[in-house]
Amino acid sequence: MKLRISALAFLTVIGACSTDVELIAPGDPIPVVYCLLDPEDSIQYVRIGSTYSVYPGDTNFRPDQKEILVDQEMSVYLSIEYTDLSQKITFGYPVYNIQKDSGWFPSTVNQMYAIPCRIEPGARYSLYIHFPATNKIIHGETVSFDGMLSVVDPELVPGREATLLNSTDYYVRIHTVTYGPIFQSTMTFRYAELKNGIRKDKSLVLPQKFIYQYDPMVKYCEQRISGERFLIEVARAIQPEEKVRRIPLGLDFHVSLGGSDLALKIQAENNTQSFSILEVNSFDNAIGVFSCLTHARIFNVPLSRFTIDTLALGPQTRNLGFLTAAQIDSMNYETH
Amino acid sequence: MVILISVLLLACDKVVTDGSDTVITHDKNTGILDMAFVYNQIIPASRLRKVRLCLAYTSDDLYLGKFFTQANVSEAVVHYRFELPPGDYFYYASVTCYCGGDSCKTAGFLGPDNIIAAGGKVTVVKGLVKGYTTAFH
Repeated sequence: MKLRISALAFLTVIGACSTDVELIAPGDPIPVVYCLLDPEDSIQYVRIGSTYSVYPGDTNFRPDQKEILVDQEMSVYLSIEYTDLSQKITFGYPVYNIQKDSGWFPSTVNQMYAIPCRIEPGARYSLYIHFPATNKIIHGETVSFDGMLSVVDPELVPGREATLLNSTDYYVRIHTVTYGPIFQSTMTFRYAELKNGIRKDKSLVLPQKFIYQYDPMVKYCEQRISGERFLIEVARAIQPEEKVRRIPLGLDFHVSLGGSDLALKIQAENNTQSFSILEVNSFDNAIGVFSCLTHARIFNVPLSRFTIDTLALGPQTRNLGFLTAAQIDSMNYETH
Repeated sequence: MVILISVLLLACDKVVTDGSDTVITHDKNTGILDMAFVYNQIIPASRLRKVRLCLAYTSDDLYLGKFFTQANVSEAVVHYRFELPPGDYFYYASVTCYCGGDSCKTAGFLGPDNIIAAGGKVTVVKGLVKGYTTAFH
């Protein structure tokens, strides 16, 4: 008996001395959750996915659909918390009709849940995902915008035009919203190309950088769009072509306002000193973002004659075939 | 010696100050025109909108609508600055009215969506920020 125990102990000690440590082992998948509450929408969407393992050096590895979806029964619900004891819960239901973006992941559909719910201003919200089989709960909290997104500029006033020159910048302004510290505008320059009597409408999308405004006492949050940068980007993106004449049509703006948790996440990911995207995470038992996001769109902001003439005659863009304001006027006169 | 040179260099640094009729010093042969775009508020300001603020070289150009520059006007901004060579210029400013009923007429407009304009001579002085206010009658 003693001999057996000694042998067992010896084997155990020998085993404990093994230096073979598995450095890379597949971990358990972690749910990935994205939910951006939109106060302009009557339905809120939750996107659910899963992490997957990639071995170092295996750059061609593509996860299959099974790996990136959470294959478990779950209930998804959003709770507005008036007080610790007073809450209103709205349950979500799965939706299958929202197509995924094209890209790396092979899934044909997003794993999405829709929650029919209007977002109240300045309220505390909790998102729960409950997996009954494992009795696991994912939980995240956020605070909604304390007001609606209100765009001050551009404003469509008859006769008002946008001027973008080397010495003149354009400004997009919104009213500052409490709990909405991050905003971004995307300007789209629309123009027409005329070649052999055929007209093609084209556009150049010019996203601007993120603007952070954490002080709710500041009345306006503004984004400067450099006139010089605009002309440089037009010159860079549009190629000169023989026999092609171009007519500037105007500007469209897409303004997005994000919540505090989204601002933290974006700031962390843009921070070059940050080591991990997991540094900022909205959830317990999952990774992802739970915050607010809303949009406003302004179409057909006319360009001033100064901008049109600068595109036609200015040093950066004069080889692109843009017509001057006078040439466009005479063309319109002939057409009508 | 190094410290002395540093102090002298700092002492020679150009100082740019702000404000109406404020002296500015820079190497350029320009001055700054500071236009305060304000209008008569008989009717609520929320029902008026700025339309244009432009500059012309001469009074003839002003009346012919031949402007050489234009600011991006906004309800959020009162003061608009133009850096220009010294000399006389003519400004053009216009507003439109969104009131219903006869309110726009009370404020001097011909009716809703009508535009009223103001214009006048302004002077730019080298090295100065000269302040002017739009004069709507």
